[in-house]
Amino acid sequence: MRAPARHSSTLMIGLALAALLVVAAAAADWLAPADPYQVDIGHVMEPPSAAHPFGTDYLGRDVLSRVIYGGRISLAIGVIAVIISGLVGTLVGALAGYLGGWVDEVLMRLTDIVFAFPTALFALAVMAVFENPTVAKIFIVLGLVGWAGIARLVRSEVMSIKERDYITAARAVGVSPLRIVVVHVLPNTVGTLSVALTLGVAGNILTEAWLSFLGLGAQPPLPSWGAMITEGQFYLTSRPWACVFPGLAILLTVLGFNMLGDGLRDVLDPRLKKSL
Amino acid sequence: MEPLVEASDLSKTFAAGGFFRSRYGQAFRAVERVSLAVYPGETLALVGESGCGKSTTGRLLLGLLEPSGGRVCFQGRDLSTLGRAGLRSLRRRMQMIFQDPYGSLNPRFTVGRTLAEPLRLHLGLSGSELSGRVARLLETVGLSPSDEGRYPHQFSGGQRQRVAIARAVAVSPDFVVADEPVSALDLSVQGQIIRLLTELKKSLGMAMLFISHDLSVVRSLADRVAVMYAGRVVELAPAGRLFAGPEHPYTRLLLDSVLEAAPGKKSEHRAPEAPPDNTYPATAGGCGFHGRCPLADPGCLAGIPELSECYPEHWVACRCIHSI
Repeated sequence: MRAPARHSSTLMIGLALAALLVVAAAAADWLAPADPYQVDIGHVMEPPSAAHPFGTDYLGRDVLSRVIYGGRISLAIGVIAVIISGLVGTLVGALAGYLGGWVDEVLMRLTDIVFAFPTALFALAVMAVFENPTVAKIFIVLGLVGWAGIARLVRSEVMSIKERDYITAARAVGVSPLRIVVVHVLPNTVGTLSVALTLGVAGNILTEAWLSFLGLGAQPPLPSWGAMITEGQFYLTSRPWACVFPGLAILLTVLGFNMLGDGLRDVLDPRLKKSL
Repeated sequence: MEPLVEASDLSKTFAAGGFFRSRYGQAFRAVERVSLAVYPGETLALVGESGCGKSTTGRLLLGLLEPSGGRVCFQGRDLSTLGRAGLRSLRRRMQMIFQDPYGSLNPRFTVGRTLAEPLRLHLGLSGSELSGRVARLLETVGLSPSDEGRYPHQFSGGQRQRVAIARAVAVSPDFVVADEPVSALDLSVQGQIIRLLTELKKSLGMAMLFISHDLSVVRSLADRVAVMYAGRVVELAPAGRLFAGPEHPYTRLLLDSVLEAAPGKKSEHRAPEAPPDNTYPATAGGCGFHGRCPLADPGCLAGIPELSECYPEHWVACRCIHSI
């Protein structure tokens, strides 16, 4: 058995980083030293200083304020998209796993198709269908792409759980199939699911960043971290702060949610739970 | 007397897994033309080695598996004609106890919730009536009513099995299938659980199919014993008769294997090691036991022996044993 201290430190660091993001996003109005949209042509691409701790960007906007407000976008996209993909994925996975047979076959081939479809191409298609991309569309894109992984995971969990004796016992007692799935099977997938959803938040934030970097996500002047890197990329060698700070924000956030997910996985490990 | 549960010509064949089908294109005949009857209030023990189809037979009798052939009747009603809803309402009358008390209780349910489920479902109980019933059930199986809020992992194996037994008897069923209910437990706990089952059976008057590979356990509580080998019932007799005078060579072997624990005495019926023949279609015809049988001769390959009555109430499927 591994040392319990290690699990909790992974979990704690992850929790701290995620909490930092949540607090920063919630308290952005108080924390940000300046208006993230305030253009100041007299002070473009200024290096970090007391007035602008992270410097200013090519329009003279305060980078620190934009990074703090950018957290709102990243967090909102990460969490809302994960809720969408979690709901769709759980439904599809539970149906496929519990019913099996042709239902399983059809749903899993559908999942394979979604998996095989390049996210960028899908995003491009969605953005093209609806004019002027908004944040809401990114939710839809990420939610509709992300459910496939959740569905596979839930399916395999459900398939293994439905063979357990307590499910047969529930059938022997006379519990209806719907109630078995909802009351007996799904609650037992919560551990795995919470890990997958946390990792999904990290994945979604990363995907939003590169979609925005490619111009497929949040549009100017929204302070999305990915979009900020795009805007700063021409000055990367001479004046890197406009790129480096949003990049660091992405790094720490994704790292934080990944560590949170890994930490949760260790804590929710059934072998450990048995000894509790 | 009318049988409570009756299986006629019951078969269950499991198809070989998809990926391996091309290589090992054979199905597994878990249960092959089994006919059994359980009478109200009696304990019928089903014994045999692992993989002989006893658990599958138990699940078929409860309608938890669909038979590939034959049928199961509960008080004369064919389970396959009842439909899903009809079968579910019949679950009040027949219940099951599982081998592994660690696997048969939902780890996320408190004991109280596990026990409340059948009561709410079949008796429509709720509120204080429900909690009173749960408390009494816990007392019946030797647990404390205060255990109601605890989770399965907070109990020992024996206590968990008591919970599982409480769930099975919650709705006072007429028929219970106990699938190796003590073989996962410590020897000291086994006796307690057997005693509990015996008491409950007496007080509730329920019939039981007791599945076990352990003949010493069976001896203490069975009224009749059916011995299975390779998916077939090879001997069926009242318990006293079977233990005193086993007829089928496989039953004798089983009984000897129990006695082998006694020092000094060497068994005369040494079986050559050969796996039971469960493949379908059968690779070799004839009696499934001939590969291990000390009495086997070429004639045993000619056909599969049917059960025939060698003494009153004593049935055996072996061509070397003569019927009355």
